[in-house]
Amino acid sequence: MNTKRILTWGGFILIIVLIVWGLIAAANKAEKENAGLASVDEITATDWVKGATSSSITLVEYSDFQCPACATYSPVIEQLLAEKGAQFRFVYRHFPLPQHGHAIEASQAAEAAGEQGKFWEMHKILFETQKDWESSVDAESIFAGYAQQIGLEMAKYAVDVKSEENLEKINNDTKSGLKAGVNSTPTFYLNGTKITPNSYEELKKLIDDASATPANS
Amino acid sequence: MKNLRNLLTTPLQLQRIPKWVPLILLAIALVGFADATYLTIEHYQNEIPPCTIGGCESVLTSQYSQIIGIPVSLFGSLYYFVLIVLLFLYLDTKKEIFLRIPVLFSVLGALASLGLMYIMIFVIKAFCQYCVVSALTSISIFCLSLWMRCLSPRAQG
Repeated sequence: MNTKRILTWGGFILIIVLIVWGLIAAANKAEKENAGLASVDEITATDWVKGATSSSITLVEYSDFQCPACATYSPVIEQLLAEKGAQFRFVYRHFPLPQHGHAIEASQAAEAAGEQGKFWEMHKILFETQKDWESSVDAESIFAGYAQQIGLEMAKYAVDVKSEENLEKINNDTKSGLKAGVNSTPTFYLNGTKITPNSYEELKKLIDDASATPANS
Repeated sequence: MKNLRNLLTTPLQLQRIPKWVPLILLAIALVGFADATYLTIEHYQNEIPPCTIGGCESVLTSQYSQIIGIPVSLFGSLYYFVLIVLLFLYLDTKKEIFLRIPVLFSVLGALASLGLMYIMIFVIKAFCQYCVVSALTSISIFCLSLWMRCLSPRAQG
């Protein structure tokens, strides 16, 4: 009788220990896979960067082409780049929100334009025309129209817009945002610190302040 | 009310319940425990588990994924852990009470799972396979429990 009890509870301990150990191993493996994700204070080779590309001041935006607030911020960032573009670099990362039905398609169109060196052109058009496609049933054709408009080679665009790699890039951007705690768009990080500027002046001041205090690195 | 009290106090009739049922319950609870604990570990490592089908990131990082700062998955782990301990106690002692408590407990698990599935489908509108697995395990445990309860008619009174 006693042996049976020992076996039962020994089995219990063994099973629990094995499960927890296996899970920790699996979790560590997942952590390694995620290690390649961009972080908010670093840029990667696949990031879209504008402005002073080698500057130590980095402004990262997590944005969604279908989000109205992001469209409002887009010209503000343009203006900031025009005025202060020599002082900082601007990084755009995709954070398509699930409630925006065309947001991923829009990101895919931008990435496909990026394959032909015209990411920022598509980025601009998408935000400017957001109202025209946000509730369209066939946003895809509208985006193809923009691709033509900015002079993309359409055969290549048609392949790139559906490419697995571009979709994965978009997903990785989103994951890096989630990891940093992004839960709404647009979310801005200035040298790794989340900022919530309410006006152009405020944003400009933040860039100026960052320029005045050189980064530790 | 009287019915409910009856449900709590009426012993299960062990001789009517096939021997394999508690073992299957244990196996399902172990799956649920592994699933929920994996999510808990990932949560505290500040990582997002690999989501083969899109969407689990937004579920696992949503405001509904935590209750007062504690991840929902930790409650899940504890729930399954308690079930496993009780089922082992039952296998060891064969005392009816250690089977009756999990049967009652499973109602809570199933209700919590249904609530979370509702939030996932209708509020967050995304798919999280880890969450669905946990819902399936807790609902299977509930169904088996319900069946055991039905095999043991309540005392008339």
